[in-house]
Amino acid sequence: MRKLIRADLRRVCRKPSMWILMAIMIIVQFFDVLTITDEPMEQVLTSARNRFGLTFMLIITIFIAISVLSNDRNSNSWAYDIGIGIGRRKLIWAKAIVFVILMVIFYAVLVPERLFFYAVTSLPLSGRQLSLLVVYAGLQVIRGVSVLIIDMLVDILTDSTALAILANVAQVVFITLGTRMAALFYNVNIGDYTPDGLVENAYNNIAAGRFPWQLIVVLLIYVGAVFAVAAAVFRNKELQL
Amino acid sequence: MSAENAVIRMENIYKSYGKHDVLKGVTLAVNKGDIYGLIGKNGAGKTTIFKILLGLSEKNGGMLSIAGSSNDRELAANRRKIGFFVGHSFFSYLSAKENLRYYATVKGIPGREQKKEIERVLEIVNLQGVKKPVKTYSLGMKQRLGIANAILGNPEILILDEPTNGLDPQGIADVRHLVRRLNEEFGMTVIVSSHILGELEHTAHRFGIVNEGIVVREITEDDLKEKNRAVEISVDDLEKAKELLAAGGVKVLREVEEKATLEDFYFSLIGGEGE
Ligand SMILES: Nc1ncnc2c1ncn2[C@@H]1O[C@H](COP(=O)(O)OP(=O)(O)OP(=O)(O)O)[C@@H](O)[C@H]1O
Ligand SMILES: [Mg+2]
Repeated sequence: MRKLIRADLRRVCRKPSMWILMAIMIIVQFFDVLTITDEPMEQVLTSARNRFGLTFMLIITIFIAISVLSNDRNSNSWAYDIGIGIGRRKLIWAKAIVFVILMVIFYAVLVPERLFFYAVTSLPLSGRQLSLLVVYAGLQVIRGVSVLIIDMLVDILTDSTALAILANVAQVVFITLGTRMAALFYNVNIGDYTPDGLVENAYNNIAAGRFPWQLIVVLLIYVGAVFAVAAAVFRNKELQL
Repeated sequence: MSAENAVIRMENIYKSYGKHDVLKGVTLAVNKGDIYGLIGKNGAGKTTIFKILLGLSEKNGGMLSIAGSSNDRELAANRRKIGFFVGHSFFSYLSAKENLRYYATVKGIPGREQKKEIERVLEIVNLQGVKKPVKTYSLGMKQRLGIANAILGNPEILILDEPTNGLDPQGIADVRHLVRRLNEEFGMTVIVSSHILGELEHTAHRFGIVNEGIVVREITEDDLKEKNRAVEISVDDLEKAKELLAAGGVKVLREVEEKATLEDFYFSLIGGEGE
């Protein structure tokens, strides 16, 4: 399994598009900080969180879904890996771990960059505010992985990466925005049950010094249970070569 | 054939897609060190047999064993002894070398040995020095890369599904020689399929003839020899030979004039060699 993870990471990191996207996000953050006028610091932090949780989340998860699910499907590499003796369970575990590592790589570049810009422009942000921002970004890794695991399930169930990518956009954009608006305008908190809403509430709990129990729900249901279903469906799946 | 000697055994394998029965009780055994030729027309079930062997397709019944094991966990482990080329499995945006590097890593070939091993297999299939991404390759080049990938790391068992599809005559001859060489030099057990009879006739030691989802017959080289009732002799004076044969009471059943084959012509014109 470690061999497969290593091979996958190297292959994905060789894609120029990974570094082009990274560069674009780095530049976007640069302008984010540059365009801060004298808005209140709470506002600055909210837009930073929206970057991590919405725009960047979309770009990063779609990139990973294409690099792992779509490229793999087009290359038949899952079939090849199984044929040379990688167990099916191990294979999809390896893919899930690749999701986690790639998410971490992206945020591990973007978060320090933002903190660095905040430091050089000497924005009056407290240590507590900054560390909460780091926590928020860290939680996004969990959310991104939940999005990608659902993508993987869709891909395995439907044999279509196009649908998996569509599921990705739906999760990050439509469901996220939809539930946030529903909460805002109609006071319906459907968001309390989506990964996005749960992670958001977990963050609020952490900020308020309470236990972020919502993370347990996300990990058990949206990551764990969905993964278990994907693994079960994949167990006897016919693979094309 | 003794059962212990068989590295791959299939007994009564069934496979259906919905109502369509594709394999209806396939039984075959491949011995260690054999070159086993799987022959059958289009749609006979050759690829399906390979897919079940490789764990890509679930059988509906029957027994499969690889290197003596037949439970799922051990089957997966024993598949590590297999190198195969059944269909293309390459990342189109990577070059031949990068693709092989990927699979070399997955196969667990240590990093420092990868470069040498990749050079070795690329040289065998005549693809050295091609740096373009795989999406720009011709069918024949992809086919060669597929074979290179199959022999990467010198597997004990080699599975090739119609490896000569899309290859030019030189390529076809190369594959034939390669299969024999791998078998003789490294003792590799090879299972190779084809729907062209002549292609396997001089390559394989044993043949399984697949038709409509069953192995109708397994034949050995010796069976072929036994079937050879007629003997061909070359003489310098045909008339005299006929006279002598008639005097000795030997009947001439058939006279064949030897013509050059298309293959002979082709190779004499462009160089290279066939059989
Ligand atoms: N995934 C699938 N779903 C439905 N039917 C299938 C599937 N794969 C193969 N078949 C059917 O199984 C039969 C055997 O196919 P297979 O590919 O094993 O034949 P083959 O001997 O390899 O033929 P060829 O020489 O053309 O490669 C065919 O009738 C084919 O239509
Ligand atoms: Mg076939």
